[in-house]
Amino acid sequence: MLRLIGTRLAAVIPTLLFATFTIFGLQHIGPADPATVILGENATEERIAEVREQLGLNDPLVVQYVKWVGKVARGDLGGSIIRTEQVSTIIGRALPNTVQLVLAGVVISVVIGIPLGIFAATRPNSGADIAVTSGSAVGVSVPNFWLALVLVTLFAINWRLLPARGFETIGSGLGTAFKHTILPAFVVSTSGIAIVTRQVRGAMIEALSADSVRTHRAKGLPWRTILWKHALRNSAVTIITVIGLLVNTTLGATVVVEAVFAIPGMGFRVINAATARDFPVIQGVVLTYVLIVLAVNLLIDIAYRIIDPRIS
Amino acid sequence: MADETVVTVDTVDTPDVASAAPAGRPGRSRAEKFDFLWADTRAKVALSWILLVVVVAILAPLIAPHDPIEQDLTNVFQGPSGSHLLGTDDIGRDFFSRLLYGARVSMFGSFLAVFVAMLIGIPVGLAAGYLGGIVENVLMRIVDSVLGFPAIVLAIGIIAALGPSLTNAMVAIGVTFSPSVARLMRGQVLATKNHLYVDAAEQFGSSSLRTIRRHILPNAIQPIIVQGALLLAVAFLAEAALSFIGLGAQPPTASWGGMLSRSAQYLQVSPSVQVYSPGVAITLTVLAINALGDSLRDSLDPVAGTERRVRRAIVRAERARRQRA
Repeated sequence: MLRLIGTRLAAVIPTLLFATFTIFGLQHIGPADPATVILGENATEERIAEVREQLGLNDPLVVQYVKWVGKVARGDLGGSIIRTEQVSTIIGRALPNTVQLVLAGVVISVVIGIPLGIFAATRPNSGADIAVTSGSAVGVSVPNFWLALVLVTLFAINWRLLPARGFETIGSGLGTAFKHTILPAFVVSTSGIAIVTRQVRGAMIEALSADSVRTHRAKGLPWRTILWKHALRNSAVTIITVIGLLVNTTLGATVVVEAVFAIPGMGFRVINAATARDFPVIQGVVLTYVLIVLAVNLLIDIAYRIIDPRIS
Repeated sequence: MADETVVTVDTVDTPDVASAAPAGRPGRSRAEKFDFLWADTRAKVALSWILLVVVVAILAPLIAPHDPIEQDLTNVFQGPSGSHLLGTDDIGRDFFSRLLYGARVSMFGSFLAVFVAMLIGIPVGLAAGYLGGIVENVLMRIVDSVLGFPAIVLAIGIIAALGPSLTNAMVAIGVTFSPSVARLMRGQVLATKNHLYVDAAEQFGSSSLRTIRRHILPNAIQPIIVQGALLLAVAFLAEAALSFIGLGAQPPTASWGGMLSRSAQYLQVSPSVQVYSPGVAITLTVLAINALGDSLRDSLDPVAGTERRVRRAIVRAERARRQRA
């Protein structure tokens, strides 16, 4: 197991290296000088020189890159250009909000998606199945930020049941956290629910059509045991794959949804930073996202081998 | 009732589709290739809606009752009325006209993104699959790395560098889509290049470029077209999202995402029809593009297509049995 983790970690290195190229390159692909871009056309010469110095733009690109990676490796992401704060401080504050939102979103996707998928798979082509399948088609097609607006209108403005804006983590009490999380978490999970439902349905239909299932039925095993013990276990690899995919999808969904609910998370920060062209913040946030995705992929890889020993 | 229609159309038209490629004639004519769209009610409805949106996008200047950026500060937040079908927005612009013009932005933007994705992804995939070796290794490493970024976040980073505009936003989205095209293209090339006809062409002295263009590409492109249709749906959502957060189409240009963003700012006072209409327009269009993509895939993949026909036959039989009972 340790060797497996070791080889997997080694395989991540080229990916990570390329990711740092991309993230570092971001501020250099634009047509204009980054310092001028940040400060606007009307900035004074001295101020531009100052920012160029702060960003280290006077060095050759390779030197800049090596310096930047060296600092990042030590956890120093630099200072924000428009806020007098370290990027790591900003991320440290934003990350818990986004993580809570993503976890809640993934849990909702799985908790609703898996039973729905199984439900549809056990009665293929029935009216209920068609309803579930059509529902998941709508789920991947509805823009999540719009769904957020509609739900805010209903739950926060019309019925006054839930807060319309802001966010609280578990740290400030379970009840408060739940009230602030449930609506945005449901919104970020809509496409997740749809994806999980679709995949689980497909995998279960296949698993249930296996010869072994017929044998189990013939020997008189209760349907429930066949369904939950045998068929579901044979679909486990698909389900694990989908959950891995789900983290990436949900993470992407939080970006815009955080903006709608004014949740001070990573997405909210990166949007503001992009509007203000605060590159150190953008780079820090994007790097954090990439690290999360890589870590999740690693966990999924390991989970495969625990669940299905046939995979080597 | 709607289901009933599906079944009838299917029964009548399926044999035609099956016999659309008579033996002994290589390939189907262009018109026949797209016959399946009219054999499938889902595809027919989806295609009609998409065509409607495209026509509206093209004809917007002719059919819009008002100028989409003309302000009327004495008439803000009006509800629907005879002269303003969907009312007016926060600075008195006609919401219905803006909705019509918004179709242009969304359609142009999403096609641009898919075009960029193909422009990068197809050559990269072709090169990786055809050349193999170190080229393949390096290219695929890069492809995998880009796939590790959540697409929207990478796109936001690129937009920050290029400056916010519709074109930049959709180029950025296209770039983030290109790895998935490249990966699929490579797989297709690998599956195609070992066929005897490719060997034969090379034996007869066909150059690499000619082999790729004449023999590999035509036989590998179909799944890419399906992928393109499905990416179009994602691009459509991405355009709306980026315009919503202010990084896509810039004001005063009317875009569906941008209109929702303004309605969101004035959620308490905006007529509710202005909160719903752009969202419904986006949802229906994305739903239609996805449905069309699925139909395209089914028709190109004979196994999936057959499976679906078999499933429908089962449903039909079940229904008939229940009616008899």
